[in-house]
Amino acid sequence: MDKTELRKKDFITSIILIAFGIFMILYTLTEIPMKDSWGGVMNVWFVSPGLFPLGIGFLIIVMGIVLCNRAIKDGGAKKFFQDLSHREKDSSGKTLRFLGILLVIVAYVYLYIPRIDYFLSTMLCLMVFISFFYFDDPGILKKLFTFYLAGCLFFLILSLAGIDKQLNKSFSYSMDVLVFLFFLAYVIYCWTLIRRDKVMRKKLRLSLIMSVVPSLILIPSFKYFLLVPLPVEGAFIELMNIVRYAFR
Amino acid sequence: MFILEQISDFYLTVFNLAFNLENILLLFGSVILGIIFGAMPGLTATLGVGLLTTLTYGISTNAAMITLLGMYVGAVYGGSYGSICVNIPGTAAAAATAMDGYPLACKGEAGRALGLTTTASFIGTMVGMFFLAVFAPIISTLALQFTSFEFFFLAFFGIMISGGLTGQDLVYKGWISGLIGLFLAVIGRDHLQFFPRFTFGVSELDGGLEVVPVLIGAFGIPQIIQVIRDQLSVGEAKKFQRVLPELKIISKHIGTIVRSALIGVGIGAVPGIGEDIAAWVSYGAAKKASKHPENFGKGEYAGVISCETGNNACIGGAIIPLLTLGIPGSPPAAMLLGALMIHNVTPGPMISIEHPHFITEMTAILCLASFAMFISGIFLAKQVVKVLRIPPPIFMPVVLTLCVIGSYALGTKVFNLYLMVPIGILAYFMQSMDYPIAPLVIGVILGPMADENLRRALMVSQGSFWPFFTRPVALILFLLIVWMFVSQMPFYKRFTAWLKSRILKREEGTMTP
Repeated sequence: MDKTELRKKDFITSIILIAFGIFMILYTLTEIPMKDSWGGVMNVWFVSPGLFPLGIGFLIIVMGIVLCNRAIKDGGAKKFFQDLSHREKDSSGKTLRFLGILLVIVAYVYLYIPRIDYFLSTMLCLMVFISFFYFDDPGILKKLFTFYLAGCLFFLILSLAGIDKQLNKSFSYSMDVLVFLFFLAYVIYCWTLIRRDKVMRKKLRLSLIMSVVPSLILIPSFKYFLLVPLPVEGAFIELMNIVRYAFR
Repeated sequence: MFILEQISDFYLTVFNLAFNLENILLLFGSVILGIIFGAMPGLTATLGVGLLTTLTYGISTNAAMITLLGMYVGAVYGGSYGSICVNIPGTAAAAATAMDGYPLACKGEAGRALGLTTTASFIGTMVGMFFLAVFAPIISTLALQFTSFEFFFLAFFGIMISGGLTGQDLVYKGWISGLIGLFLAVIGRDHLQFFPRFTFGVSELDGGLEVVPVLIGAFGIPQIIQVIRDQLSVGEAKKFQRVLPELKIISKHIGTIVRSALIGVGIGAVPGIGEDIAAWVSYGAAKKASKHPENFGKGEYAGVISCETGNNACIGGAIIPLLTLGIPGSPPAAMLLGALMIHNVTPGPMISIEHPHFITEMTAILCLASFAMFISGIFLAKQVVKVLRIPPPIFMPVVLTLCVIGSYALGTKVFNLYLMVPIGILAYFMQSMDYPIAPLVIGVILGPMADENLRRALMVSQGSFWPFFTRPVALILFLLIVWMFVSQMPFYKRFTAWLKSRILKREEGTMTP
């Protein structure tokens, strides 16, 4: 990274650090007992649970000031104020790639894992992650990103409104079925985008294989060999149970 | 008699471990997996050890350590494959190897270069193991004399030196990273009075942040984002016929090997400094000592040998402070610490009392792992190079799912995942602004040690700070910390520059008649 650009970021970071250090000190002084009684025990300052955070908060402020000083000296602050007036657009496509990765990770961890069958969540995550970047085409990435984001927003609204629980109550595994339909829709959408290109078709096939095979290896290994109860055991894991116990 | 007993105990342990088929399968399996992990650009030894930690919690401590040390040794060595064959280091530790390894491959000597790295890595690991066997019991006995005063400064010193040596841009960026780690360590109920700190009423935070999800998040997520975002692509691997031990060349460079091994062990023993620094310092020292430094970077054997001996010797060095003081010497050793905690082994001065054979067992495992690495390296190099053809968009998503299930499986808590992601994103942004991640992790690990020992020490002295300066070891550590801090301040730099100019002027004055 260019030095001035780095110092600009250092300037912003130093302000955040100073603010965070002040917050730490204020929180410690107001929320953590320094000398009062806690749990029936009279406290003295040197055994207070606030002593260490207080020191860290102070050191973070000191480091923030040192960093700020350096950033100002090296022109970081000047660059920051200059850039406030005119911002440059990213033309390398790295921002979209970063947002794509972030969307896949956040949706997988915060949206699907706590609510949807773990096998299905993992398969969907792998399919989306691989297809986003394996096609290596910014145009396709943009379209797939929008499609996946729309699907995620739909499921987010369902869960925020509590509709997912109502659906699961009235019909078992209905959310799993919906997400599976979304998975199929995503694959079909990918197909429509790349159907004319032979290499891309091969890549889609490989993406599909790589979304199913690792999930089929990983999840039974943890569930049946390491005996780890999975976050949500829905329709697909129930199916795995049936298969496993049929052969026992 | 005591030394003979120790030696016979070591050999007995080696044979006991080696004559168990399960152990041997685990050893070779993990070493090969480690080599593959190390060879693939974007996957690191730290991540490999972290991901494998999850799989070992159901097996015995010995088997777990065989698996994890096998992975560690294999991954540090495996990094050289990418460096030599495609000029993309598989791990940061192998970056220096690419300087001379790739030019050698371009000359059609890829097989010879891999033979050299295999032999040098083997010797480096064995030297590290020797130092672990000799010094760990001594340091462990010495550390028994340490009290809370020393342990507080030791923890702080670990964070300071780790931050100081890993900061690429500014030294204090490493310290800031360490302080953020210390803050993360403070979250949860404190261990002395069980008062909730920075939990904001979230009951899941009461127990504090679990180390393994933090480690996986801090090392795994930034790696995934960086590799995919920056479209890391791997070129066609250079072809080679056979990999042989190359003993003739090795015997010519015995001086380089000894020097690099000592550097590796020394750097490994310093808290939080990894194999990458050991490799670069060894490379620099070899270049400085060479009669033909101009050949470095053009395919010099000594260049390849020095890096690989240095980074593998670092493994044994990094385990010394881990076992004896509870302070990891490198990021993969931090992962090992997490694994030890899972297996109810608390590293530190008490380890030789609570688990009298543990250090010997670790030494024996390291010895076996280096043999397994040597054998696998010689016979499987050609096959392992094939994994370099897998494109990152295919394997990085699989790594993500491994990170997720790895973080979840240890405590079977989805909340661990909720923590892993923001820590990973924070680590990514920090890394992109040249903040090293190792001090952050060291801070998370050493935070409770520093906090508890500070308060315990003050409890003993009834609030007096005087004993911190009257106990010799504590005073030395304190002075080192102060010096490290002050030496980075602008006024100190101005003062030393002024002092130097004064001395030079005076010398010039005495020289002129």
